[in-house]
Amino acid sequence: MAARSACVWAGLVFEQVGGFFKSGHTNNWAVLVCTSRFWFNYRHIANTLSVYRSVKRLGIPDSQIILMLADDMACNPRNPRPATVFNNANQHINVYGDNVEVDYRGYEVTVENFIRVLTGRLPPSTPRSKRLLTDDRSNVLVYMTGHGGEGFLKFQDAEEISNVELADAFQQMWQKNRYHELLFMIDTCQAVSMYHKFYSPNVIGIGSAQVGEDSLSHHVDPSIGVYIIDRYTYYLLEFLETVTPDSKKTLADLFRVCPKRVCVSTPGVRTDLFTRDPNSVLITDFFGSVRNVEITRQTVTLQRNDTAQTCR
Amino acid sequence: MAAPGEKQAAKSLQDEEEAVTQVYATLGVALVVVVIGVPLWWKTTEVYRASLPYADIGELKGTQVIYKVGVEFVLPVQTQPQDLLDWREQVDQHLDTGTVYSPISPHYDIKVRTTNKEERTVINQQGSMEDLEASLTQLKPPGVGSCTLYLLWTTVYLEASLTQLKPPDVGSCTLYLLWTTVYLEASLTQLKPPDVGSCTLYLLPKDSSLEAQAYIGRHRTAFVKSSGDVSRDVRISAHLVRSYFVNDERLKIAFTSATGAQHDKENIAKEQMRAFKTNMGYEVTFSLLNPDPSVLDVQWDVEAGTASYLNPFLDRLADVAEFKVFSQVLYYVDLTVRPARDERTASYCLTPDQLPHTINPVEAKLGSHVSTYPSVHFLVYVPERGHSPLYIHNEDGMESETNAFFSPRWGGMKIVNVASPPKNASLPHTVTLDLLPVMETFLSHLRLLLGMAQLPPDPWIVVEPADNTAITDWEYDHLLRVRTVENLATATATLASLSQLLGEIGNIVINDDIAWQVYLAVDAIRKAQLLLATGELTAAFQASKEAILSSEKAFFDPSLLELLYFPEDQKFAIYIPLFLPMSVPVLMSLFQAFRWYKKRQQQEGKTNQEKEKEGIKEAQKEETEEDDDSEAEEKKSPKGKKQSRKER
Repeated sequence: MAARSACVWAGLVFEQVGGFFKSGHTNNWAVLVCTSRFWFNYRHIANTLSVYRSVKRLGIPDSQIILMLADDMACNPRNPRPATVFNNANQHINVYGDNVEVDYRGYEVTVENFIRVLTGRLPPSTPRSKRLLTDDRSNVLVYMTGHGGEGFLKFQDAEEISNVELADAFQQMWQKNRYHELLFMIDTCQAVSMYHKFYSPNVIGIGSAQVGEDSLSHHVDPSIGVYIIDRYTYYLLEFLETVTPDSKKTLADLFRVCPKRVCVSTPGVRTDLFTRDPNSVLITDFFGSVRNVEITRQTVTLQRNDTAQTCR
Repeated sequence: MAAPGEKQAAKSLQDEEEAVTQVYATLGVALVVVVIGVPLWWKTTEVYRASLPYADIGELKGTQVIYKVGVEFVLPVQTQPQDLLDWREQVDQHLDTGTVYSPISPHYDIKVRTTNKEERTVINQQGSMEDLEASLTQLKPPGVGSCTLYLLWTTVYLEASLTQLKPPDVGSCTLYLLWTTVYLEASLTQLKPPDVGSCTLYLLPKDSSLEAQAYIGRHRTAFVKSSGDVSRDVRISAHLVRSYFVNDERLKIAFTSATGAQHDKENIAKEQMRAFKTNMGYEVTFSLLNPDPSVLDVQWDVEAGTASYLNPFLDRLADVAEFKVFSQVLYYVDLTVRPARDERTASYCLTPDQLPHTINPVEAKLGSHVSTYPSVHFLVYVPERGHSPLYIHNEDGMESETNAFFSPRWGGMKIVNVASPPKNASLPHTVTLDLLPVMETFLSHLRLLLGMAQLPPDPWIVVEPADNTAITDWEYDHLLRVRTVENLATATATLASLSQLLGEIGNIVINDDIAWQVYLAVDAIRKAQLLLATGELTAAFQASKEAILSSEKAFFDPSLLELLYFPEDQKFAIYIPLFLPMSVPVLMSLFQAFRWYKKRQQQEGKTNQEKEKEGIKEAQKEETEEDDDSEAEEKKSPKGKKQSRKER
């Protein structure tokens, strides 16, 4: 009997790693930032919520999404359709959905808070939901949108984050093993200038417009009187809607989103810091959260211990 | 005539005086700007950096970590002195780590001896191997981090008594080298009362153990069956020490992977992905998912279940980490994945491809966590009536025995099928879950999440399973050692990263208390390295914990990010409106003063020329002019310096 259980034990201990570990990450995180306020910037909220909707639908739980929204369009008095934010004048997709967890809102959306979230240098009192608790096996998606220029992105009309600052923040994350791979996506004017200064490994940069180009909005919704969404994110959402958690679409497909003829601006991609081939990297490695699993074959053997149960 | 001349002289004197006052005023203002203004501005805008032990940090990074493991080989008393020496030599050879440099290296403190009288008494009188180990351990407590090998007889019944004899300390292990069965039989029959029943009892494990060459007990003891060939015995013993008790390869992997960013991350063994990195605590949540409570009222006494099955394990690890255990029951939570119907067995099944997608929809409902410790989730899913019984299929299409799966750094899920309510039963039908198999599964998962030893399979070595604590003493030692090494590597890497970042990024602030934490961390790392080298495992672990706490605090302290980044041109744009209005009059006056000075020099030169026209004086004048030039240059240079400073 002893020998038998010993073998069972050995079975557990000696269990081989199967082919279940399909990718090098074990968890996914998303940091989605809309940096501009005010009603006329409705489209930036819609952009961010579009990505939020997609990553949530593809499986990243709210506890692993840091959503920073500088304003609340859904409950704005000027919104003729309260508690909704649409991606389209025809009201195809309500990107606000029915369950939005905003972590940083209004005036909390500052450069300082954003950098603190990335680098983990938050005051001890910060609740868990406002922290980016990533580790060396986390794939992180950073999506930003707002008004930008060459080498900077404006936050709240008051301050701006520069590409150097962003690159330094990523480097600090890398140094402290805070990500495994990082996908940086930005929809703003001259967007690609934001990833030019990156120098940390395993980072992909995607921008909606080249330096010198404006990133344009898609269309006006007459009922709200302002532009409803930006072109790049509009087509990005259209593309992500076709992705399912078990989809085999790759990053290369993502790079082809919004070509110049529909986008007007020219989206840019930077992959020189990334080691894997984008053709073989699944979209869901960043936009979803498909966990690695392995079937348990053997367990430890415990002796039945009923005394404790009857005592209680 | 004299009056206008006097007047003129008085006027020129007045002018002269005015000019002098002007010059002194200018110089005064310039002096204030240079002496007070510039340093004040410099001081108030500089990034505060307390001095850090950069050299020490660099040194720590290059220090080889050595851990001492005491190993004691105990041979039968009949062994010849020459054989003892032979043993010693060969053991040295096998446990020698070689000359190849490695950032982490074991140091084996080897002792070879024969059994003493007390041990012999115990070995001879005890009935079971377990008892034997216990009593031998009681007899002579081995030092922390050491182990003893007994070269004696055969297996199972020896271990426990040896342990009783000599309770092993944390981090030590004992290896008994077993002599041939023949010898054992002889000595056993000689020493034990001639009782037929007990004799059979000893002989049975001996026979069964003929297949295995070694037996590893629950404590820190192993028994090796001697083949009579010394080199072979030594090889097996060394293998036991290196691969099981110490597992130096795994320690090396843990160490290098924790060293961090600079290393090739893809080289990390996959098993490293399963386990969490070192943390001070974990939040363990048991969730019972009941998709249809109107039909099945599933009860579980999870409090009693954790008390009887989980707590012994957690208590054992109390020094390693803090565990917070929670439980919850979630109703109407369904797996969104549709299980396929298996007509053959009238059951439902989930394929391995579907499993990853079962976690996501449930995860959102598991609730948010309060602490910043990593959360470990264990889910028990009771399938609804329509999908019952539900089985997880292996890749080969067979039903999984455990009906459970594991997700690295997340937790696990187990599907528990309960009997469907009888036809006419009133609903909901109450069912109580048996928590023993549930806890068995989740304890196995927890072991993986915490990074318990993963050992290579070997049919020739019997490993005694742990008791209800689910962890053997030597596994605990190994865990402690891995954690210590990992903490050390992480803390060292954190400090190194910090000092590197301070070099790369100019606007990181280092306050005095952060510098203090860095010094604390450096000291703790040194202490832990020292303790590890002397084999004080528990103390080394505590020191490494301090090191990691201090270093993390230093790295992640909010005060490091007091300043945001401003590009140089922006700084210039800010300073120009401040400094330009102030600096223009100052610079103009300085220029005026310089011109006045130059003029006066020339005037003095003229009067000199008028007064003394000798050729010798000519040369003197030239000299003064030269002096003037050098003085003017001197005057210019601080101005230029100031301007360049302002541009910063």
